[in-house]
Amino acid sequence: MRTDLFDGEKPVVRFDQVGVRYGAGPEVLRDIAFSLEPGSFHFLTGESGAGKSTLMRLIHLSLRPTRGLVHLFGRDTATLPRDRVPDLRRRIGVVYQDFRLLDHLTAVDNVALPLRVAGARGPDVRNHVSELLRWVGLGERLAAKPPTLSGGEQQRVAIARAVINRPDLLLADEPTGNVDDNIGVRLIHLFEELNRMGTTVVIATHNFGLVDRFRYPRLDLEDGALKLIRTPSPPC
Amino acid sequence: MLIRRQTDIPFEQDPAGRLLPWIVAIMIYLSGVAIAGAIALNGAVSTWSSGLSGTLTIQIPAGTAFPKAQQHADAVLALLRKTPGIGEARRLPRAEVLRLVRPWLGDEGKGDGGKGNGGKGGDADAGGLPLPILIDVRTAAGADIDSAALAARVARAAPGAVTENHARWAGRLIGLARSIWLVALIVVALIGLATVITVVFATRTGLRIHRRVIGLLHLIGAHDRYIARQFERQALWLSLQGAVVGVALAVGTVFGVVHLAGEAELQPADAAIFTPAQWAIFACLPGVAALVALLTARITVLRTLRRMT
Ligand SMILES: Nc1ncnc2c1ncn2[C@@H]1O[C@H](COP(=O)(O)OP(=O)(O)OP(=O)(O)O)[C@@H](O)[C@H]1O
Ligand SMILES: [Mg+2]
Repeated sequence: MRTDLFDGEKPVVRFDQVGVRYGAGPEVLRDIAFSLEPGSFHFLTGESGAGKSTLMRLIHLSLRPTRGLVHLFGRDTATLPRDRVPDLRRRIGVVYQDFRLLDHLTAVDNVALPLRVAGARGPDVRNHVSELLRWVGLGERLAAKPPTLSGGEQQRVAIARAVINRPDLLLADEPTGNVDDNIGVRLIHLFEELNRMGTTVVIATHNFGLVDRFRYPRLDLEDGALKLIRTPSPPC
Repeated sequence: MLIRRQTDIPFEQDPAGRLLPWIVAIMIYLSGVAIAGAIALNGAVSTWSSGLSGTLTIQIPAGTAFPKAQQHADAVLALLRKTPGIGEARRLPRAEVLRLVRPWLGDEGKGDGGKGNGGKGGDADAGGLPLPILIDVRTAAGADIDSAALAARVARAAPGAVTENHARWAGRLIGLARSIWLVALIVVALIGLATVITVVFATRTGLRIHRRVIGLLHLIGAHDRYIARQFERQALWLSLQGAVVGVALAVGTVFGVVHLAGEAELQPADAAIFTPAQWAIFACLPGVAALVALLTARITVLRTLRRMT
């Protein structure tokens, strides 16, 4: 599964002159060109409305670019047949800014969803999921449904769901927006853990405290354009 | 476990889903009654036709215009006895002929003719109309009679005599039985079509109601087949519930009608209602309905999703 990711060191994501607009509106992103190497870790910054979520939607194939090319795991997504999309998406974990949990399912079932969708069943799934939920501090709320969870708790369920599959690429949109700093740091540590095992990570955030603390390279969006800000390698 | 199933899509909120079992129950009930009706009619028809095959009736006109009717009848009977392949030839007694014509002549026939001419024999009138002489002929088992040739010889022996071959009637009854089955088949097919349309409607409504959840499942990497499977199971389960109730009510209705028929002495109380094969049709109905619902839901979901995105 993961071997082809490193085949010839193809970038996990590559954008060529990508522009996107919503309907007949102005171009939200223009001439975006960048690539994410396997195993890299980036923050995605930019003020509110700069287009961070839009960029993530493009990577995750839930939004098609108006122009330009998006390559994912070495494949041109414009020519990708519809029935191949799910297989690519299974390799990507996404933490949505608005969580998108299923209200009628328990925390455990929400987190197990990517495994179920991929065909996994049985008690192993449940144990694995419970363990991860305990790790993010939700050991007491395994059977709780999202409407009865606090914002920060929902966010952690959403994060657990995004990482349960050990994705090749993790996209986290404001994953620390609703938790206090020490939980935020703990969550970034979780992402680093995944990153060490090979997952490419992109975290969109407003939280410059975290950006400064972890010192990973920054993709910064401003006026619809993207620029890479390299920072010294993170402290050990 | 079966009552509250855990699904990725919260179907329990669907109004269309709540109605589906009821609609399927009604549809299956109607199908069951149509099938039972066809089986019963068909059984009656085949009883008649087996009673008719291998019989002929010879009708010899009587009355003042045919003074030699008696001799003619005797000649025909003698002829029949000599003919190979004829099992039995019997002149119908007057009372039986009267009974046969009573539906057309009313009680008048019995009252007048019966009393006035009781002792005189076959050429007596019925209500002023001359009663023909009827000869009932049974062919020997397995014999193949050339009925046209026989009719010609009968007509020579008794001018004006008419030979009626009931095989023609039996053929018509077989045609009738076929059309009964055809009508039942059309009824069941139409009911099936209505059920399919209902399932399509319920599934489309479900897809609309749950489009957010479906969108999320897609984002998580679900194939259309995965989503279709959720809808399939729901359709299967809902229609199975309805179909079982519908079949139970249909079988109950059949038993009720049979009971009434028994009370009216239309058939012996211990007669078998259906053959095992016919019962099997009823046993299969819920499964067939559930399978149709499942396939309909699958095709609807796959086609709708392909069009949506
Ligand atoms: N579905 C949409 N239809 C029309 N315009 C949209 C849509 N989604 C986003 N936009 C617009 O595109 C721009 C970028 O939005 P986006 O959500 O990507 O910003 P963001 O950087 O994620 O902001 P935030 O930090 O507040 O989450 C905004 O101007 C927004 O109004
Ligand atoms: Mg955003």
